[in-house]
Amino acid sequence: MRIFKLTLSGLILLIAFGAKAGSFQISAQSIKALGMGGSLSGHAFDAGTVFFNPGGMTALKDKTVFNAGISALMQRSSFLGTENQTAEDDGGLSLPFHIYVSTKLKNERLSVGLSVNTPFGYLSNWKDDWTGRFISQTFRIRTIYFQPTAAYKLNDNLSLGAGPVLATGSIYSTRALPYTTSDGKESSMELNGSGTAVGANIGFYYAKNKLTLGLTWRSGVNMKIKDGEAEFNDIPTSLLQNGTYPTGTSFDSELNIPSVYSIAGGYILNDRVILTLGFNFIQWSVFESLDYDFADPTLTDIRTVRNYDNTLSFRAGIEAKAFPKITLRGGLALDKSPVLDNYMSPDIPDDDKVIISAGLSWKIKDNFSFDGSFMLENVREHRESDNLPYNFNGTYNSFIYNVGIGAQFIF
Amino acid sequence: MWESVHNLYSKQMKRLSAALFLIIIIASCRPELDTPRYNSGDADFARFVALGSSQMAGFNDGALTRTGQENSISAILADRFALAGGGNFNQPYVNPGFGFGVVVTEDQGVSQFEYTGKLELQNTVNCLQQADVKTYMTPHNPVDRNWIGNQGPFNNLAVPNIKSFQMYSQQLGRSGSTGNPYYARFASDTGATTGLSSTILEEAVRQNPTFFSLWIGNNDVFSYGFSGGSGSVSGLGPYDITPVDTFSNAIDNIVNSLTGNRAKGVIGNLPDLTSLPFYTVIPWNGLILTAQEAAALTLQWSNLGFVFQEGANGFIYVAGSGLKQMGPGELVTLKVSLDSVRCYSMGEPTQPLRADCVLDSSEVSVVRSRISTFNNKLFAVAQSKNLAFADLNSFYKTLQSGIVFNGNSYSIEYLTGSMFSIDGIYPSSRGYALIANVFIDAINARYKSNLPPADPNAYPGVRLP
Repeated sequence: MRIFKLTLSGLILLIAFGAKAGSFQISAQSIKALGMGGSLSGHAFDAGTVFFNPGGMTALKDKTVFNAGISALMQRSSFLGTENQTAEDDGGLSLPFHIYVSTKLKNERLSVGLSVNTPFGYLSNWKDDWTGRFISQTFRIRTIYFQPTAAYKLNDNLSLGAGPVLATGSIYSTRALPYTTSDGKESSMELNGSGTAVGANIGFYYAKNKLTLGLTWRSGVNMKIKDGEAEFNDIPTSLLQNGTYPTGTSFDSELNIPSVYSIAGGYILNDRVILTLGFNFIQWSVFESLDYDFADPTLTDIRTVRNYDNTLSFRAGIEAKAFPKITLRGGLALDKSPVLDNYMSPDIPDDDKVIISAGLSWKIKDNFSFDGSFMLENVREHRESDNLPYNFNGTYNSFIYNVGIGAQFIF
Repeated sequence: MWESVHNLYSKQMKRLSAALFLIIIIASCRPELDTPRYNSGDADFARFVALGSSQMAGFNDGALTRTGQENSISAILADRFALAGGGNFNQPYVNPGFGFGVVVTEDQGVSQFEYTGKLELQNTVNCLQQADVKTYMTPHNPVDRNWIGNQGPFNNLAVPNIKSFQMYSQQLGRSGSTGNPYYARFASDTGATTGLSSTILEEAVRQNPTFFSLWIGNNDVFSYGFSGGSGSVSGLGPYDITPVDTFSNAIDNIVNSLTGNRAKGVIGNLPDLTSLPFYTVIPWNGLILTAQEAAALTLQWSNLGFVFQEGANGFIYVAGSGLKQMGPGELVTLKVSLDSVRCYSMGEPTQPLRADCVLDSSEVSVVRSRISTFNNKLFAVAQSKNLAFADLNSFYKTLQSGIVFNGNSYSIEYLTGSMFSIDGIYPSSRGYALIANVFIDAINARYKSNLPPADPNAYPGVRLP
């Protein structure tokens, strides 16, 4: 009943604040979480808590827990332009992965662990000759976060965990340029750059009787991309010769990845069923613009204005030990989009998402189990969404599929 | 432990792969988007005729080519109309290839036609030893001029180079020097027996059109402008500005004939073509001098009141029997060779620009005032006949500061501005798509239709070497 009330008030909150999440954040950071709507900050199920809530590490029953998983993330998008032109993407496969380990030290008050995962990333892959090609063809963000972590049990109920984050990431972006060569080839630009940044992940974890609560902050990172590689292909010779375009140059950019604040809880209904509920507040407003500043002064720098809005997402999950060796999971999430009207860009055709997911764990041995999950994200159809800077307007619709498998070892 | 993993793997492999396969099938589903239902509103696009001159015919790169015709404003409109009850759209096609352009010369009062193919660009090194491009003419295919008038009726009746009053001229379709070679090739009657050809207007009316588009009048002003103002400001000759009364009567006659059977339609007004690359590539003060050159010229020509300074100076041009120096607002046409200006003293008093290469301030002002008069007439007729009115004059003005559409920028910049073709006068195919959109907006506004605009990115861009 209490959980039901919480859910209800959460939904009301979500509607009241018009809150949003989404864009290039990846839900699949743990196979168990994937099966339960995407977030497990409120209950420590496995070593994934190193990432979701470092404070939860001390709550793990076993001395050492190791989890690893990989998922296939597929996005399928369609576009219908204001000029009645249609487009379908070529689809894209991303393989977000994660490795978590958490171990208790001798006195059982202190735990240490490591998280290596890919919390942010994106891939959109429109056909090279599609109508929006001057804005984006292929667009990819990749990140890998390394996070050594320690957690300390402050008292019987409360723990604090924290760890520094070393993030590495890359941006890859291609687009056509509006020049045609004598033999009919369109010019294009290919940008490829990477960078590193540091951040932090801090979480409080509270457990009393059947209730667990988590409060976490994963800091945003400001990833500076230096000396990225810009290549220009099929530029007409005349434009190369008169210096309008080089064949290549370098560029600098900056990828602003938002902070994520979570407040979440878990409730142990009985010895078989656990319910989870969580809210994430994502400070997407840091993603104001993605710019490419070219080293070659004759080139006009590219600004792609985003003006993202802060968002809130809501995630609920259930875990049930249905059979002696099999645990089933289900989840539901509402993920509001940070994309504002008039700034919908085909490189990240994002909108509010309704997410459903399911998963299972199969206990092979006492110390070894398999996890598998499936998640479907239905991106709300965005009618007549405009991109004012590029005057590019139309309707987008996307499905995102996530299939993940993982393994857990206990020592 | 690994043994148990292996056992599980062998036992469950089939089931697992079946499940994975199912998931992949599901994952290949793609969201569908429903195309809106387009309707023609109060208009009826079943029988559409397009009328006008070079622009409506799809003329660009200095020629009428198959590519130009296929991507003409008229063809783009017909393509959109087809989404809302539009019918077949037959065009008097030339063969794929270089198409043909006409250079008209007068020899003892008789027009001589010289045919070329379209203009193309090639890389070159200019006289300043800089990398540059230059245009060259391709050969034309004489077969393109063969008579195809028996393949009509044609929905695209636009004919390059015509003026308003020529739309009902019974000389225009004749194949001799009195006719227009672009019309003579598809006129249903070239006047071989009677000496009087069919007219464009009668070919349009004969099709009993339900809808027409009309963009006429550009040549009524700009054949004067393109000739550097060498004709009369009120005459019927090839380089003259059409007299106001003649234009007025012509528009009345054309629109009355077309609307006689209650056809609906759209009329376009005239842009101020003096902002085209053809007039803006070479600035009025493109005579660049060193301090010594300026001093020497000033000393030599001060008796005519010419003053030269270091840097940019107004060109000297032939005005009547004397010479004049160009001032701000006066225009040099692209007929002047860039190299001759850059390196060979063209535009200095010893080698003044020819009068037919320059629009001086009085010529510019007569062109502008006549455009304004003609536009008032076109607007009044559209109003009185309740027709849609495409304000192309305003559209061309927006090009001055540049516009962005579907991620591409359009401006009057020569060659790289995307809007205009290599001839610097006529739009590129993408430019024509943007102009078609001005017509479509006007049609939607007037007839409550919901035709989608055209996507310029679906049309070919300007090819650069």
